[in-house]
Amino acid sequence: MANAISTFDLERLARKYGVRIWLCRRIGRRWSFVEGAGAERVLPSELIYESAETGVFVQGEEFDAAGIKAEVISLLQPPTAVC
Amino acid sequence: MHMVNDKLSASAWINNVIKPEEYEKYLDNGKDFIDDDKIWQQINDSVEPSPERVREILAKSFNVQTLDPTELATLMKVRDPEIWQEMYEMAAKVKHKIYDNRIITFAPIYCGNFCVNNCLYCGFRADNDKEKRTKLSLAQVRDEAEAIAGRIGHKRVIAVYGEHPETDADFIAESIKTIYSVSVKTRKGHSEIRRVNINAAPFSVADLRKLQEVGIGTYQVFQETYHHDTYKKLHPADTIKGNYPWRLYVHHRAYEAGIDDVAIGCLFGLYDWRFEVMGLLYHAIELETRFGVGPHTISFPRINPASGSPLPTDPTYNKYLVSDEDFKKLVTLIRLAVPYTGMIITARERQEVRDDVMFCGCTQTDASTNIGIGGYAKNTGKQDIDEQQFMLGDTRSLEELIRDLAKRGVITSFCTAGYRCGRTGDQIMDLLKKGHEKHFCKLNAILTYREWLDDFASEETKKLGEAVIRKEIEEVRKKTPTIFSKKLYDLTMSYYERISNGERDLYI
Repeated sequence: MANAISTFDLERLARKYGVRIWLCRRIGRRWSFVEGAGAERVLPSELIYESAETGVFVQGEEFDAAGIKAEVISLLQPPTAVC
Repeated sequence: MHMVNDKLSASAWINNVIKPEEYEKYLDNGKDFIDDDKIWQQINDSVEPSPERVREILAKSFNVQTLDPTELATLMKVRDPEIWQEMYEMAAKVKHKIYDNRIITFAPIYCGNFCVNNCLYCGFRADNDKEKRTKLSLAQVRDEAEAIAGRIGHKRVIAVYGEHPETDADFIAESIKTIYSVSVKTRKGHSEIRRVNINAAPFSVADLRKLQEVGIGTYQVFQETYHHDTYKKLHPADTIKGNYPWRLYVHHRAYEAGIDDVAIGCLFGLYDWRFEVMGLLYHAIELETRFGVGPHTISFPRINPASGSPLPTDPTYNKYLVSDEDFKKLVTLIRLAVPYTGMIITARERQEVRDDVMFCGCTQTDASTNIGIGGYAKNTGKQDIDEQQFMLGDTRSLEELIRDLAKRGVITSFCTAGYRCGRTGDQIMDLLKKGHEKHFCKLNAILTYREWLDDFASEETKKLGEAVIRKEIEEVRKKTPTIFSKKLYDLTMSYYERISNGERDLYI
């Protein structure tokens, strides 16, 4: 779980989209912080991706939620073997 | 093998609890991080500071920097009442800077009073045969949670358990799940417990994982006294609690188990309060240094009369009882020394003490408190010393407390938002230290206060509460867009509207 998205990738997404982004683990009805990147600001937290055990929150003024979500999904997919 | 309700007998169970390898790795040449001689030396070597020196230290607190133990010891030497007044005021300012104008409320649920320990000050101790022993069934835990959520309106609880195989980690995990599962229809919406904190025995990493997996809120364990010799005298060596480092390092194990938030505290009146405040600071520094996350809250209960306990009337110990004046000082010093931490003052204290000390930096308190086992569902309105751990000093209802706070312009908050969007652990520490968290506190206080007023308040309280809400919203409006973006303001107002129309559990 801790390596679901690397710190490097979180930092890259934070820079690219100008947001604060953080990865959480779902525990019952709550989310537990795992890792994050980007400067914290006083803005709403938006859950842009969730699965049975993982959630990705983003905080930003105006941002491309669909673009971030697509990249997050791609990063969370298990790697496929290349022959 | 002897069995108690299909579990290991208490004596067999005790032998399996402590895992020395889980704390020995943290010791430095066999020593823990509380150096009694060094603490006393720091206290004794400090001299009364000049007002300028005091103000330098206060500026550091206001800058949300943890004080150095020698700085704390220096503040302890202040004698001038006017300088103390400055310190009280600074404690309030530090709290406001980090947590804004809100007080969080909660209720304790006592789930069982079986205990294998024999702490001399505690009504639950094994040798106290006056205590009526009982443990709530899960159905009774549900009844308690329904009463707290549905009749009183709290959104967070701290569940309390004695150290005993009857209330082991498996039982606690089940009771947490039970409390979270409760939802009660209210006047305009519904109410549930959104955060379950735990005050329980020090567990092993494996047991703590069980609590983490069911969504424990804060895991609270008090050291009771940091002074090694006193600890030894009060906690017999043949008990689990007699093992000082097993208890001292439980927060380390909690972090290892993945628990986000831990809480420390000590029971004032067992030893010299100045030493204990230094101990709390050393504990906070240890957690910050080792894990990057200090204590989520610090508690500072004073010893109260307990069933069958020789303390606090025993002359060996009653010299350490803390006066109201010193209590106010120690609360102020904790706030100044560990500026980012939440601070809990409970209904143990008399109303006049609580009303005064609350404004020296406290962030949380309880109300409509009942510490009898199953007390909320029974709802007798009476205290029974043989059924509870100690006697309460302030039995105000939540509604009365909210009204009293509203009269002082303070908003009561039922916010649990941090846990709903991952503002936990080092993330929230960072927010607290940068002074950002207060902005979230303010908005979520408005939203959750609205819920409570609509669902539980009398007309009189509602009127007072609405004046507080109007003032808070006006402050937010004035700080938009400099502090709060237009987007955030609009979102908050839309949530406010939706809550007023009966939706629940919306947060920023």
